Amino acid sequence: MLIQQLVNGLLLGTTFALIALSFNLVVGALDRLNFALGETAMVSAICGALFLSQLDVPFVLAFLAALVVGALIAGITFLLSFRFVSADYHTAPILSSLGVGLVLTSLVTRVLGSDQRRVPTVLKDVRIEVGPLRIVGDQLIILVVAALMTVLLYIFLNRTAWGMAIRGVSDDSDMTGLLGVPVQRVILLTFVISGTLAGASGLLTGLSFHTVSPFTGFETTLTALMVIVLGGLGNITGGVVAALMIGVIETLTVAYLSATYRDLIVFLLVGITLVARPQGLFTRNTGVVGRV
Amino acid sequence: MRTALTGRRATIFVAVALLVLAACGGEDEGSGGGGGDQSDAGPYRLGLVHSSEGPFASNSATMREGANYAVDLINADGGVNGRDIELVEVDARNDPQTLVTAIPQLVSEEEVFAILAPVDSAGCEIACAIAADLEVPTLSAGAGRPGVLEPSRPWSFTMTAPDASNSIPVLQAVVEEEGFETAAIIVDEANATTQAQADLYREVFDGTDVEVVSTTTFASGDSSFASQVTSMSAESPDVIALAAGPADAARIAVEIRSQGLEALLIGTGSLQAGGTDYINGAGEAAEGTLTAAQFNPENPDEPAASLLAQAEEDNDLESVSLNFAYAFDIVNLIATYLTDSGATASPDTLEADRQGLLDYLEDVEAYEGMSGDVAFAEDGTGDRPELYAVVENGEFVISEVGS
Repeated sequence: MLIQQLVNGLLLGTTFALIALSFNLVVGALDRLNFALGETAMVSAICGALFLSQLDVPFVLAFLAALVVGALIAGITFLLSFRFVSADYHTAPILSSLGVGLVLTSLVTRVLGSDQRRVPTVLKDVRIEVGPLRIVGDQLIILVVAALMTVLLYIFLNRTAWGMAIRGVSDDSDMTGLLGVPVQRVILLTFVISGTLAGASGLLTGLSFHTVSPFTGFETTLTALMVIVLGGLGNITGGVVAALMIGVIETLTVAYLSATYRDLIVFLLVGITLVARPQGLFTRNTGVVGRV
Repeated sequence: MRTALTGRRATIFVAVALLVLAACGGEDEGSGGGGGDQSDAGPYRLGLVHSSEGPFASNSATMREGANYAVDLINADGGVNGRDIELVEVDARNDPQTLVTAIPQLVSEEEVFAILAPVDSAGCEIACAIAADLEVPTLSAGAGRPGVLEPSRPWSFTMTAPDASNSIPVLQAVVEEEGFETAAIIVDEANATTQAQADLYREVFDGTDVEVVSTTTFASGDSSFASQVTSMSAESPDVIALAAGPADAARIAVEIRSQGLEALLIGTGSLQAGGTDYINGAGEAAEGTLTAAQFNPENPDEPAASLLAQAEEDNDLESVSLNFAYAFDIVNLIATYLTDSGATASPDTLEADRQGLLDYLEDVEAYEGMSGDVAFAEDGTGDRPELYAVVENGEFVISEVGS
């Protein structure tokens, strides 16, 4: 059973990893947190779920729809909460993006109601059993798609001109701008990619949990924050490792202790990390406060 | 449209006629008389406390719909004593602190005559106790945890038979009949009502010599149940008891089936009371789920049958849920008292009128409403039949125990 629980934890962690990557991209580009990303993931997931359950489209199409919705919302959030806000007011983008998140939740509940929506099983009859280990079809989808998106992101950031521009803006936006890179367009692109990742995370999480609820946005944000505090703000590799770690810790806590200890143990771990290694477990540069 | 309105009016006529008959049958000789036309006095105000969040949000939503439907029908028919009924609604958002401030506000500022208390036991316990301190009658459509009304008696009532007295004999009969040997319980640890459900299951399994091989926990609103179901799966139980709100139970059922477990899923009456929320959330995974039940949405007896049919038509419902019907009956019970006693519920008489409602509720013997015959036990809980429900083709099919 332990092996199965470890796999469950890793699968949970992969969904955390995508949303943490999404947050980390924005932090890298702007040294700011987009607090609407949790709600972006939620709206994308609900749209994807509606495509699957109401329009009965193939999963690939619903997934692409979720990505597009995520990208659109993130782009709009950039324009509303970051683009035209002075860099001198550090808290303004935080509060503004929190507001965007609240508006998104209210819009969804007003338009579609507050009920959770079922995400239909995609690969119903697929089940792989190796000894005590059992992986069902949807878990395979989550694993493959999350890994694929992480690899694609890595290739994009390291092997393309736009990816290099994003890394340049992340390192030193002024210098990158002086070299002729359109900084604002690069930042917008970063937001769009982060929204795409949030959209993917939202629908994959829905697939894992079988439902999506309009009220999960802030919870997702909170989980992503814990991941990036543990992994190191802006550290993409650290974020992935920390996400998998939290997924495993949460799963094992529920399995062997109690569901009520789950958050407590993760929060304790985050608290200890903030005190002992504020830069995160996998980062050597400045800590959370220094970056944001 | 014309046909619908005609049918509705006919139903109102039948309902009001029966209400009056029921009231005449159950009351003292001197209590009748009616209040005449009080149309200048403004509406009768009733508080309604619901919750848009938490494990029983869907039950709360259907309770709200049922109460509003009752008020709409009564007001469309000219109101009570020439006055409309107005619901003053509060969304407690599953937050005890909101109840602590909202109930006194309903009583002192809104001057409500009585309160429709939260459907969930945890919320009802708090709300009813506060209202009892202020000597305001409260009626819950769904609170069924044993002892939930103790802090607030005699001012509180619940339309529901306690989970324990209703569900234990029903589930024990089913478990014995099926010959189960092992069971697993999954319980929402963050909610007092579901913890009481877990105790109820333990009593059911103790009484039937079924071994509980796994008890796993979660917290209300948790999203992932993979870990809990994996733990249960390792023990291969014959039956899995769901101590959870309908929405959580639905997600658990989907995870159970997606991991390939074929154990029978059972629930208490509150799972059936959640109406379609469990079935819609779980989809095919809900098929075969067995719950205790105390309300039959296909009740063939009159006037319930007519009222249920009309409610389905007017509200475009596939089936009327328990909380809807119970809330409908609460509003009509109060309306019957107001009609019969002629109470004005004005600031001068509010205290005496509330006491009058309390006395009336204590004496109700067999009020015939949408949910069937209503009567209250000495502890203020509803006296209901022992039924069970099985999910078949996407709906709860109700049967009597032993049938």
